[in-house]
Amino acid sequence: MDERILVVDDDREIVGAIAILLEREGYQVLRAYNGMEALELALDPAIRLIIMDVMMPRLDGLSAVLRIREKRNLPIIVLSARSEESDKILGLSVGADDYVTKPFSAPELVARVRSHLRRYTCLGDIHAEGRMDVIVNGRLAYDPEGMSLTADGEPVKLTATETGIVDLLMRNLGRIFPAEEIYRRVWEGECYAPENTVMVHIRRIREKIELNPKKPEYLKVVWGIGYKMEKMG
Amino acid sequence: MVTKWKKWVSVIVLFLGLYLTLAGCAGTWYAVWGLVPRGLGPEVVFQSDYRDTAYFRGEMTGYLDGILNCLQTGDTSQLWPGAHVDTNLLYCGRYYGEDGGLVVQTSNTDHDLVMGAPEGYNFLLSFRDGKVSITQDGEELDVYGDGYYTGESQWDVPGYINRDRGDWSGYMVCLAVSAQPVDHGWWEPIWSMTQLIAYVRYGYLGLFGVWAGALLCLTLAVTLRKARREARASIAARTAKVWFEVKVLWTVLPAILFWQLAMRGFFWGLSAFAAVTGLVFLVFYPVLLYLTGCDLRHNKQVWKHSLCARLLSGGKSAAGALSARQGAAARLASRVWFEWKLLLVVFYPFAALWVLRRVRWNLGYREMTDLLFLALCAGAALLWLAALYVLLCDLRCNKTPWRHGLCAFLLSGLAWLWRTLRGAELSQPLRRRFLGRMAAAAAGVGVLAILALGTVFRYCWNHTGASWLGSILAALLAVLLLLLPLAWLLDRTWVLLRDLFPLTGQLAALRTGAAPEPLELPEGSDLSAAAEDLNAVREGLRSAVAEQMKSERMKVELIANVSHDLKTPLTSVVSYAELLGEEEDLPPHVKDYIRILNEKAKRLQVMVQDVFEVSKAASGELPLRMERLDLTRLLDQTLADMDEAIRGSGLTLRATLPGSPVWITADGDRLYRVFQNLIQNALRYSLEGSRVYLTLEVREGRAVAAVKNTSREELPAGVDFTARFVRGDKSRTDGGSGLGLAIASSFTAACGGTLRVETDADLFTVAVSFPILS
Repeated sequence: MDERILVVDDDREIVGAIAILLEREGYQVLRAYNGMEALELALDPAIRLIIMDVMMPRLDGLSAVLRIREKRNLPIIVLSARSEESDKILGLSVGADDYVTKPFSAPELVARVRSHLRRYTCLGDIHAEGRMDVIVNGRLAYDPEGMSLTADGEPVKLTATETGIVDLLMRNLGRIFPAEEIYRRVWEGECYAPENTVMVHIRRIREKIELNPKKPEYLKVVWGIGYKMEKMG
Repeated sequence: MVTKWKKWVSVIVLFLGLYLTLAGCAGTWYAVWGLVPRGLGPEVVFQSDYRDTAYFRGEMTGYLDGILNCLQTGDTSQLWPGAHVDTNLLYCGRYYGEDGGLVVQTSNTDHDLVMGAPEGYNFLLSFRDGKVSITQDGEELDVYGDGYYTGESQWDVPGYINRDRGDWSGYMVCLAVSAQPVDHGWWEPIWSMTQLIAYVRYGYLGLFGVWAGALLCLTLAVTLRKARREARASIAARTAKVWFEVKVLWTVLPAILFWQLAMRGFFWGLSAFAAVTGLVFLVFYPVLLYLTGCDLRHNKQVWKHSLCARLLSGGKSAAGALSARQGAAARLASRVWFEWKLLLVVFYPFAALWVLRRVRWNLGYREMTDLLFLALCAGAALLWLAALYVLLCDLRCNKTPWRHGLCAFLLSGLAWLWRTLRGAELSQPLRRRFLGRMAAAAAGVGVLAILALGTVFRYCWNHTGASWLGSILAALLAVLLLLLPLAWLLDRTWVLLRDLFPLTGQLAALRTGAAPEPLELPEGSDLSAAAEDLNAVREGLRSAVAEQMKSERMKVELIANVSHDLKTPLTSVVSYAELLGEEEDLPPHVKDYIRILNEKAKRLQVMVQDVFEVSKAASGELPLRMERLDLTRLLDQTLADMDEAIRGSGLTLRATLPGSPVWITADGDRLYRVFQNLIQNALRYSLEGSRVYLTLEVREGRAVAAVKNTSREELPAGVDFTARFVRGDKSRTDGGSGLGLAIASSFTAACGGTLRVETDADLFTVAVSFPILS
């Protein structure tokens, strides 16, 4: 594979660790240790994705992202030790595509990289096809007619019940469903304590569609109210 | 042991003997003073022929005298009523004058009685020339005996040698009595006499019977006195249940009544009513006295059982039926205004006395009305006692009964009015409030000034004789002099208030957090010192707030920086530990080391995150998304989410959740963390195989979710488990960060709830409570 990824962090060991992870997956890794270096290297057209730390000497990550966005349209994952919501919002608003907090989980980071790269290269196809009846939500695309779900363009294998839940939630993005309603509409019956049953299936679906099933981004619990499919901008 | 009937017979016999003796005495008295002097002594009982009685002889003598009287006076109409048609007693009287000619004659028969008694008449009394001869059943009676009148002489007629010998020459009277007297339907002497003698005979027989009965009864009573002693005890046992007042009443009242009636001559009218009343008194009063006597003799401290004692005994007799009755009375009384009760108890006696006096006056003093009036008095007194009783019960059982009264009602109404008016006034801004007050004061002063003006003017006009213009001027001057100091005071107050308004405005602005411009008051204002103080306070407050905000910002910044600086090296540690773990050809012990490294690195990661969060929560910097949520569902979801962990723990989790939603306001994500931490704690620190209880209930407007578990370790006493880095076990070797409860506590507090930890021996309870939404 000739996909190049630029990893920027002032901590050389972290860059090294990420490089090892990504190279093992077959990507080529370019390293930079501050914002200025990153700006120079980012001009390389072979670079398909940038992983950028925020707090760095000379030029901080967010400024670098702003500058790079002026010239290039490629996925940028911001990697930061700051886990505040405000930090995440700031990072995403300057042009980053994703925000991963340190300490990160290696599989998750790799999954995110893969996801972004696939979307960057393949997702165009879905839009190009112009199929209006396909519901696209971030990494997920759901075809209500064929009742099929794809994540990052790859089909997800779902059981009948799971498909029912996904169908309900994808058709009503952002709407919160109590467990009883999900049970009634998917199982088409009444249940005394549906919470457990629904939760089991939700967990299974998460394992199939979420990058980190422990910290779900799409299929979320709204505590004290119900479940929903997050609507991604 | 005396049999029951004997016991009662002894008493009955005693009373019977008593009454019979009384009756015998009365009868004897009447016989001695009423009958014997009339010739109706007890011997009539044994005299079968009424003509042998002294009464008959007396009566006949009386008629003889009557006829002689007629002949002497010449008025023949002075005999007994119906004498001229009487057939039972025939008479004939004649008087021959000096010359032997018939002067007066009277008779009711055609027979010439001088010639002898006609057919069917077997008693003839003839009086001729001062001598009486009597023929009874054809035999001549010896009337005069030896001719001298003594006590034994049976006939008291003229003709005895030793008595005043009137001149009876020329007088002749004959009286003939029928052998079979008949009833003519009206009073006439002979028939009545036979009847009377018969009655008297029965009367005497009765009297003898009564005396015999009395004697018998009294003898019996004497023989049965032992039985009567028991009877007295039984009676005393029964009378003991009667209130002492009642006994006093029945002992004293009849005596007073009887005395009163006797004094007024009630019994001497000899009417049937009076007789019955007297009889009733006579019959019942001894019985009542006897009852009282038994009571006094056998029962000790008879006065202890009385209405007064009960009322006074207070708490001692509170138990039992009386207290229930009192409670009922008190409940009844509590519904009535206190004034009514007081009025009834205090003024009622006077009113009753007045009314009763009027009633007495209107009824007049007649026999019947005495009893009626007494009954009325008794009723009135009873009513008053009842009212007193109810009032006492009310005072005893109800707290502050005077609170429920007309006065209290009116007072509370006035208080309410005052509060309302005051509230309405206070709701106005200070400026308007004072303007209103000053306007009211000015209006009052104005009215006073006009009144004073009028008064002074009238004074000047009438008394000094000055012109009206002069009077007006003088009045104006006087009033102005009076008003000037007042006006000056008002002016100063107004200046003070004018400066006060910006001052209070400034204070209000300060409170809302605005930073207004420094207050500038005119030179020489009374409040300029206060304004300067306020400016100083404002300045101090502003700098303090700024300082505080700076410090808060720095604190949060510090937390964020420390957290960042910790996380950066941690990232490397975690990453390389993971990479190392993925190396394949390593010896097993090295792999074990790596596993430990990985685990501890992960734990460190969790701890750093926890410290960060708890610090943020403690400094109030935790961003919250408060929303309306169902706590029941949240717990359901949490349980479902933690299902695997619960199953894997080997513990049993018993959840008792209400079937209905419990709505509260909180941040769902944070609250999930709270319960996740609590359940994790319970799973981690519980005794193996024990049960963990999760309950949710609604109490007094709050939703209380509690997690209870039995601790594996002995719980140390006096430890605040919600403090940071506090753990039940001292060794700190378990997998926790020591921040679980601290996070749960601070998150709960941030969401507006409270978290309380309770330990009871090994039972560890955490209760999270939130106000519920209606």
